[in-house]
Amino acid sequence: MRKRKTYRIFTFHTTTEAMAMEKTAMEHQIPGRLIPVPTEITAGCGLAWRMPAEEYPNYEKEIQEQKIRYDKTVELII
Amino acid sequence: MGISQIQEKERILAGMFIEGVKNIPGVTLYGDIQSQMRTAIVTLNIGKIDSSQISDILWEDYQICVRGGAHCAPLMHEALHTAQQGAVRFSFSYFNTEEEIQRGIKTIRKIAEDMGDELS
Repeated sequence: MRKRKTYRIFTFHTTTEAMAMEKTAMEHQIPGRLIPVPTEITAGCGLAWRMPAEEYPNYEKEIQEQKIRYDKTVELII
Repeated sequence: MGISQIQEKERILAGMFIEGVKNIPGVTLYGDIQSQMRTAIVTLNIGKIDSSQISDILWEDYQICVRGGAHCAPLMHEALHTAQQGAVRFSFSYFNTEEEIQRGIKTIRKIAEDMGDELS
């Protein structure tokens, strides 16, 4: 099946914020995609953004500069 | 076409799906699957695997759209003892086809087989 890998995960307060992350990422070629929130992070409802963990340092500054609103960010093996 | 026709078709499709997945090793179905008085929603889990992960696989690898996680219904998941794992929810509509149902069944079987080591 799928190999488990380490990803940088972003969670959001609202679906609107999740969609804004996706839009900004597409506009600025930030790698990643929306996924269902892993239950390891929260058993609540919602979307999360995942990107390869090794790519995050390359885009961390841009994510901050774009003022993307998110709840928290963690690294997770999924 | 009336509501009763829509309901009947949805009931048949959901019933077909239930029959196809209920005996797949590792699959747990929730709710009264024998009842005729139910909507065309079928909720399941595969072993102890995170329902969000299963939902993501279904979409990314098989283009089958479902909802995983807690469905904004934490109290229901407490009642079902799925508060941590969530559950995978299939919502069938009048516009789904029998072919799609069969594909869904085959896909659940394949995922359960592929994840054999991770089921518990």
